[in-house]
Amino acid sequence: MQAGKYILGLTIATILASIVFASVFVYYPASVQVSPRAPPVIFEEGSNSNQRDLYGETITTDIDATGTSASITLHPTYQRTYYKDVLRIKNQDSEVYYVKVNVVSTITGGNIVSAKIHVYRGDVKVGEIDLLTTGLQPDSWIALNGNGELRIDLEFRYATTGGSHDTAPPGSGTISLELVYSTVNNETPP
Amino acid sequence: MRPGSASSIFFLKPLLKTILLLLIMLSFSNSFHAGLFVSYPLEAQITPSPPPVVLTVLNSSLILCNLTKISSFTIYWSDFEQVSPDWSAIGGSWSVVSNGHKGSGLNGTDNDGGIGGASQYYLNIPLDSYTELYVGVKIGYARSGYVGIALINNGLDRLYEIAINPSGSSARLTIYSYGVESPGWRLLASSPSFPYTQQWVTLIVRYRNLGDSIDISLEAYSESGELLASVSASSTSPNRFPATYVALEIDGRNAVFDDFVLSTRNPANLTVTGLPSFAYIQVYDVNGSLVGGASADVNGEASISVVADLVTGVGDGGVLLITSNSTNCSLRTAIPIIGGEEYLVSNIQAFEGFADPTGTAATIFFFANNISSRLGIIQLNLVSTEEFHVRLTLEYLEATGDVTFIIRLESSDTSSDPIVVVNGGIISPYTSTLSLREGSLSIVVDELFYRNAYRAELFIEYCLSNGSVCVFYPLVLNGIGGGGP
Repeated sequence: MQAGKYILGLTIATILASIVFASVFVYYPASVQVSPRAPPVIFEEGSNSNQRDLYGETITTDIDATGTSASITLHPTYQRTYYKDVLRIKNQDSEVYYVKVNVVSTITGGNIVSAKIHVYRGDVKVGEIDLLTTGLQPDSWIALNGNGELRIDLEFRYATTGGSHDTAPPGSGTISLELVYSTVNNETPP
Repeated sequence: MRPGSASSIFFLKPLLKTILLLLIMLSFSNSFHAGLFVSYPLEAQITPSPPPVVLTVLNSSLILCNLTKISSFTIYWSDFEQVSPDWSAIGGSWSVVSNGHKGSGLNGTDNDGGIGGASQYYLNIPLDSYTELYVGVKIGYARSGYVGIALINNGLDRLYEIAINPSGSSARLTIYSYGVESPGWRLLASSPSFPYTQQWVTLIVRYRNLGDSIDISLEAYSESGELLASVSASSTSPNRFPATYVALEIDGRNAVFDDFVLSTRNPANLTVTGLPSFAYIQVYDVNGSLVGGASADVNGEASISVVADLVTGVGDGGVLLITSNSTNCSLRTAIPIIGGEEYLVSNIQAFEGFADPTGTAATIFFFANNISSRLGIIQLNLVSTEEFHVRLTLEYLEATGDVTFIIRLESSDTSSDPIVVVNGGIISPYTSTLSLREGSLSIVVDELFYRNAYRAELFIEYCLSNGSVCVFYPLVLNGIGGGGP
């Protein structure tokens, strides 16, 4: 009988304690309106997209239907090979956007000694991206004017070490990139 | 009211609400000012190709027209283009002036302050070990006095004066001693008077120490190489001395000296060997003025009078024109052409080149510093089926002296506009474009001349005919021949 009193007392104490230490949750009404838009910035083919490459190959430029992803296939050789206007970045909006490229992963090994993207606005070079160095480049945002476009050239250098005139230089692979654009040019993307 | 009471919780509730609202507003405010970042995937798939154009270095032909100096008879020469520490004055005032014979010269004005009351400008090279010497010098027109060469003793207080002594429109050659045959001046020999209207006269002095006498002779030549007069003397006085120093000497007025040559051979002539038999050879300065010419003998040796210009030009080389039945050759050299010396004309491999094993780069070394006829150095071979447009670009030129070259592309039926470099200046840095559709193109040197080593960095650029892709191969040209004497 005495034990039953203790158990009852403990139970009441536990209930009271749970009431005292419980969190307080408060709910106010809020809403997020999601209204998808067409992409203001898209990839477009350059004048040399899907044109001839060395040895009868093709400068393949695949752009998906939304214009928001692109894949380029190139066939450079020894020394310096330059591809002009193989891709364009087009602004469909009348507002300015700011562009950088994030090199996610790159080619290592082989004879490749340099790989670069040269970004042109008209005939003026406005940016250069080192494709053998990962990270967001260049240091400064490249302005993509309202309804404007940027031209993408690519340049590769392959050393001749160990090579011969009838073999391709070693150093093939895929360079994974992200085109990053923003409405502002004074912040770093997360 | 104590904290924790029901009343205090009631009091805090509006405060908590306010803070919460502020936090929500702050959060929204932050969102309104945050940048929008969008990223799209992009990838480049790289699959390298073999080179579709492969270069090879052509074999160099042998070309006549390599000039080398094969003797060392000259002890000292100067064209007095600048003041030299090799000289010291005993009296007089001496300075480099612009009105020399081709370029600058040395003007001396007598102040009676030198040996024998004349003025000397002597060369600080002891000559005691020589028993025979030649001195050649050009002297600008002097109206009077004595102008010429002095041979001075070790103590710098006695001399032999070998001079021209003008007097109006005539002159004579004289050889005097001072402090030898007598304490003062003593005339040892004098030539007959001869007409003296020349702007420049070349004096050739020959000195010999024969043991029991000092023999000295002097010849004077006109600008055209004509012998005007000569005189000789022998000094047998017990006070005779071997010449220790040679000096320019003036006594009476002032004069301009130029083209000084001190040699163990007569600087009035130079010898060229290695010529085709009976070839005719002419020496010009770099500005195209004829210095002299002669025919080679059956052994291909020619002796050319250069009294008109003992140091061709201003000592910066010259041009040799060689004419024979088998060869017509223009040989431009940066080697100083000095009277008294012997030069050899020979065949030489014009260049040697090295191509990279991939056939995508080459380095060429030129051994001949003067090429005046077409010389193919590189062949560009097409090994794929595309058509390329090819051109050359001069990217960088490093030269320590003058360098001139003309380089172009050539196909079987046409050639490009050239890259042109003249005297180190890049006149045209590009060739025009030639089509490489099948077969090959050549890179051709049309003309090449350089004085000192140079390095030119070019690239061979070929692009697909639609311009979609261009490839660049480096081509380096080095000039390593044709340096100094």
